[in-house]
Amino acid sequence: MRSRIIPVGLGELKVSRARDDVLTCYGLGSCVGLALYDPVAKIGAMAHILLPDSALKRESAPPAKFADTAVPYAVAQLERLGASRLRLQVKMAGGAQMLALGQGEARLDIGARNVEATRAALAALRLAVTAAEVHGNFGRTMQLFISDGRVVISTIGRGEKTI
Amino acid sequence: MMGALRNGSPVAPPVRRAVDRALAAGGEALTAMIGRPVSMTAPLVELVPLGAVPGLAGSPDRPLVAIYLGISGDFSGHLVFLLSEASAVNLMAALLAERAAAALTMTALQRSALAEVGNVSGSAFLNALADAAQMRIVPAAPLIVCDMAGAILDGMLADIGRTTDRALVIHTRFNAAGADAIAGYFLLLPDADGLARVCRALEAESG
Repeated sequence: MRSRIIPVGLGELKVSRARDDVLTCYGLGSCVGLALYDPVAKIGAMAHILLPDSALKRESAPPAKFADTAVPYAVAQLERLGASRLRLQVKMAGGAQMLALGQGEARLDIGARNVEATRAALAALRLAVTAAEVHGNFGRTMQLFISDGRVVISTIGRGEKTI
Repeated sequence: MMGALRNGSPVAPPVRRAVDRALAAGGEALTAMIGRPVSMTAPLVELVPLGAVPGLAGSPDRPLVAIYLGISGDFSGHLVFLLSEASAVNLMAALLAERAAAALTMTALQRSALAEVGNVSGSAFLNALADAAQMRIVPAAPLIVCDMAGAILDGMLADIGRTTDRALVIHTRFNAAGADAIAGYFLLLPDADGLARVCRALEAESG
């Protein structure tokens, strides 16, 4: 089967039920990639979350940009295509701290805050995290295979992992 | 060129002239540091929407080397010099007579040498720009990061993305005798309306 890579850019959400689609967040650092997948309906979604909180929002920002709005938005889009919330597999990756900064610049540890906010938004919808590859100080590319729901995390020099 | 113009818009001529002078100052500082002539020139200076920044040098998962300087003063933000691995290796060979096999396997000493190159050229660049704009811009100690382009940049984009929507991107070439191609990008990522203030100040200064 030929796979078709669907890039998910900063602040974007992509939803698919095409068996050969591979939803892909390239180069996650402090961003969080969130993959939701219904293994029965074989429908999946991926969000590329930049910031924890939409209270920081400027007008017209896309909902997938913020953890608190990305999660309900992704679930609603999946349900619209016929996925069931109760069956969703929930996987997340990213939330790294790329720059080892001294005091006074701690605000750059946005990665940890993104992870925390994503977990909170999932918990608010009673969604349990199936698997997570988060934190650390290195980049990750995350791919969700719509054919079977597997998520592959690749890094530079730290190998590849399927979750 | 490593990247193509992606929804970028060219800067006004006075800003362009100030950037050229600031790059020249960076080159002079490097020349003084290594004792051989080096210059930096910019084939293109543009304002780029933040969303397009991770893809500037190709796919956002492309491995790049970044020399990072945090900025404070009249605005806060980030100055990053981004290089391909090949350019980083060539830069070290040309400026430091250091032969790294690959950028991702640099020794600690090589990393600190590269950081010093960024510190010297970046600080001189910022000082010249600050003088031209009559603003105070203070760089912090340099950091080196080698990883995927998107991963290097997304924390900075998150940091400034709340208050701004564009970055100043300076497509930069290093010119040194006998050096192989060295090309990269200076990215100036100020928060709030820092970029607009710098641009306005530079335009006003030029009359």
